[in-house]
Amino acid sequence: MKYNSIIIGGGLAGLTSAIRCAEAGLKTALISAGDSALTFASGSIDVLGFRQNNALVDYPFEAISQLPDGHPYRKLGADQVRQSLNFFTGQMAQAGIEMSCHGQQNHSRLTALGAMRPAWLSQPGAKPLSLAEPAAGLRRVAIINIAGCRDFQPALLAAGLKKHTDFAGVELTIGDIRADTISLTARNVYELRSLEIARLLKRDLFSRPEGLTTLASAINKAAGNADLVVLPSVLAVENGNQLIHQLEAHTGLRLCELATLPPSLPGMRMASALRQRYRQLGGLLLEGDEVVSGNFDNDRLLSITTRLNPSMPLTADHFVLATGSFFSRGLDSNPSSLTDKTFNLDVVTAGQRQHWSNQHFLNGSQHPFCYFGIETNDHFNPYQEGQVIGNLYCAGAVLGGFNPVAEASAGGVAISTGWLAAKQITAQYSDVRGNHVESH
Amino acid sequence: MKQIETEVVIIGGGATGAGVLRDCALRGMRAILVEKDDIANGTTGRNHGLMHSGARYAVTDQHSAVECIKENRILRKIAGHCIEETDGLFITLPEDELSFQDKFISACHSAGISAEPLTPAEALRIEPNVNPQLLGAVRVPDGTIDPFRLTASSILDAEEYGGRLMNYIRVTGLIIDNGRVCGVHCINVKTGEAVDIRALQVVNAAGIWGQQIAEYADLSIRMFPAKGSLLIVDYRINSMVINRCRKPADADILVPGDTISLIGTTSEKVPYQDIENIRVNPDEVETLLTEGTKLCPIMAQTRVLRAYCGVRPLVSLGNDSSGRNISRGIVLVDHGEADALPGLITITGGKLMTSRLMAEMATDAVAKNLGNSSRCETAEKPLPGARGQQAEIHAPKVSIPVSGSAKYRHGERAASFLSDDQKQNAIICECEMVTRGEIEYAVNNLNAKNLVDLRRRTRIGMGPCQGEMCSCRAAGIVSEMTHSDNSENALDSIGEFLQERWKGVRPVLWGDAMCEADFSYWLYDNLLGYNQLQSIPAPVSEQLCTEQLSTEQKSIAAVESV
Repeated sequence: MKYNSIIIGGGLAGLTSAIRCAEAGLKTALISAGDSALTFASGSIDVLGFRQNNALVDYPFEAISQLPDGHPYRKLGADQVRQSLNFFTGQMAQAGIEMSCHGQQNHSRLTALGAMRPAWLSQPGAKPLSLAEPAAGLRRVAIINIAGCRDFQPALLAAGLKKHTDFAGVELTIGDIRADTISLTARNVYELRSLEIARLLKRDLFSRPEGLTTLASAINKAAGNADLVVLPSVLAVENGNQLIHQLEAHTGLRLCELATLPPSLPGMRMASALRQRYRQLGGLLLEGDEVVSGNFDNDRLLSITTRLNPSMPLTADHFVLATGSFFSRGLDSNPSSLTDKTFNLDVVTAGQRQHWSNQHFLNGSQHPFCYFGIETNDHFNPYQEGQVIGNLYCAGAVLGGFNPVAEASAGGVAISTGWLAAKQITAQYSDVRGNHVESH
Repeated sequence: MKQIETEVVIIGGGATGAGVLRDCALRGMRAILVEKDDIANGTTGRNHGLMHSGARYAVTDQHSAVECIKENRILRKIAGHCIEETDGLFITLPEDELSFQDKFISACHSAGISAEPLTPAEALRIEPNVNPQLLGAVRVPDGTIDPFRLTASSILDAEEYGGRLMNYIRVTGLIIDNGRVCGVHCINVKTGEAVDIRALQVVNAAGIWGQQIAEYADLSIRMFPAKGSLLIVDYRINSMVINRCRKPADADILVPGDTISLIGTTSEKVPYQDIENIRVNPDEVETLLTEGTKLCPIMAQTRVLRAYCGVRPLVSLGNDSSGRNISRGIVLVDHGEADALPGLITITGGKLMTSRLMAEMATDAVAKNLGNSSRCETAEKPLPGARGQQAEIHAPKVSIPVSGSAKYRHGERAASFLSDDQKQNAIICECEMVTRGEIEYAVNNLNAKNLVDLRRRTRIGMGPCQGEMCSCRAAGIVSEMTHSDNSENALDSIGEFLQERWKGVRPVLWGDAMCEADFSYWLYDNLLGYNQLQSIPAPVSEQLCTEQLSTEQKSIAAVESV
């Protein structure tokens, strides 16, 4: 089987790349090993939230030019990063999720521990707060858990909010909607994860005609007249944003849905929407499989072999490697060095192990291992023993040279580098097609 | 200033201090134990957890060997829930002298330790993961002991007899009146509050930190700190303790414990002023891996979970400053007799294995000074939890792995938190099967004040994920239990807990550990934004810093951002 493009990795970068290839009419295959980092992501998209000195970024696109050389954004330039995010927003809208933003400015995304993270796009079920004054217009906030979900801690969220001087005058209340109120039955409801609660609610509550009003009145009772009601994202996966909208209509309250401890339903929802969009465009999705080796000929990757089909190599003109960082198993390490797990490409060198990390785990530290990853040229082509591989592009967290967490740039880098890989691939195709020459 | 009066103050919440508190309480003395951190946080909690048969010392130190086998038999009787009777193998590898075996066996026998020679085939049958190249093996009654549980149970027993633990209370000086030690000046490290505890007898059981306590009275106890490092691997790769049958050396003991195995230890002299800042070095990790793989080759393919190190409290007696006269045995000093400073007793040296005996010796000295003639019962009276085997615990709605883990850790006391209540039975730490009920029990009954303490009482966060999900869940429970005024502390304790876990992961940061650390970092700093909570209001918005402010405001912003 021969493809125009094969995308390796089904996370945000791989999906963006695959959608763009498929939309351009390329015969595209996407190989996904399983759940991606989106399962552990907020469901918002950050582009650039912090400068290198930890200062907050108000306007992410304007700040790109000040990033250090070698940062993926510097290779793209602000205009292309913006174009790629517009493309992404359009695709999400096509898939039924209208992402919201504050114009060109970042907003604050509230987290389940009451922290504020800068983001640029959020799903409508989450309520973007102002970056400078997150508590603007808020006098009373109600934090309501659902069925005592162990992966959402209202007391900690309240404690986190109280750490913001802006929330000093805001009254915080805590509540819980009991499992029996919303017809949730399980062997032990206190052990359910977000996804299990959503599945049971679909079966036991929302299947009933009065299900929505039952939940709405429970929220009203628990929240009183709060200006903002914070709920754990446990109500639904795919149609969660619509559900929040309907509940707002029923309750007359402003509801904010927050990702719990994993799995994060807003993140899964985003992955699901993008996969659906990709399939709609005719793309082939090979799920549960992974690439075990590549057949290289000098500067080109000719074909790949996967775990499930070891005897049938998949051939393509172009490949995109978007396998993620260490926790997605795109990168691997041993006591003395690190490697790209898929093709053994050249990686940003790391020095000795004791210099890979900082002695403080969370305390504002920038761990060097976050910057580790595959080294590329300005077109995001990687090297293998110094040799550029011209028909292979790298995208997302497998890339080196940026810190997705400390910079709050994970989403934007994934989308823009995935988008650029596809842009470069499709550009070659339209040339070929324009000249009416068969590709092979 | 808070003032408390009692009969005995014990300094140091290790196995020995906890043992003294228990012994004093059982003999009817009013006693308070002060600990600057949490129980078992020092050397007690940073060793192999090996229940020595004494075989390791048989050839080089008969006296210690005899002490060990005696205490070994006592612990089997009184601390069943803290120990596992795994037995141990002393194996001879091709690079070792097989002739040492005979010497070893006869030394064991003369110390009263059973030592049964096995053929390589017999050894491989009972311990399939042992290095198949072994030339011979000797089976001895080694076992494992959980030092956290031993210490917590001793405290629990003491408290039930009127003793009292005050953790997070640091001694800042000794109260000395008319040439007599009459108590301790302390500070609550959490609140900063000063506390004076007046007592008739003060017991210095502070281990390696005992030198500082003695210095408060201008006495000199010279400690020679020796750092020992260990690695934890993520599976229980051996079912018996495995030693090398040769003179004790680096990294030659592999001990199974709960769900994991431990390889250790190295030995390195460290300057006394560095004892708070010791770390596991890369070359120690290398040595531990290389030597451990010789004991069980499968270790090379097993994930290393974390590394840690402790300091052995070796004591130099008299005025020997060279360190040649270092004792590994028990050192008991009644400073009334030795230095004409009555009221102060120091108990130090020794080993985890002999901590009960050390406590007995110290308490005998206290009792003598106080005219208390009650008999020591600590060698016969089982610790709370030790009767788990016989206990009937009714919890039909709890799955066997959960009730089994609870019983394994808390013996018959597990009955007080295993119930039919769904909320209580909800699993909070899936790696180690810790329920909400167990967490509440540890907070209410075992003096656990934060997440790090909870780990020592329950094993929460000690599994493969190193506390990724359970730290938030448990912090939520602690904050619910202790009401809203403590929520901020609970939130802060997540960071402390993860930092404490990180200390152990960082020396072995590769492969799966790297994968897990990357995930944790992503989860806490990205998804949950934890770092933003710590640095508020440090990250000043760029616009505040620059053009939009007047010069005057700028200077304020600059000051605030410092």
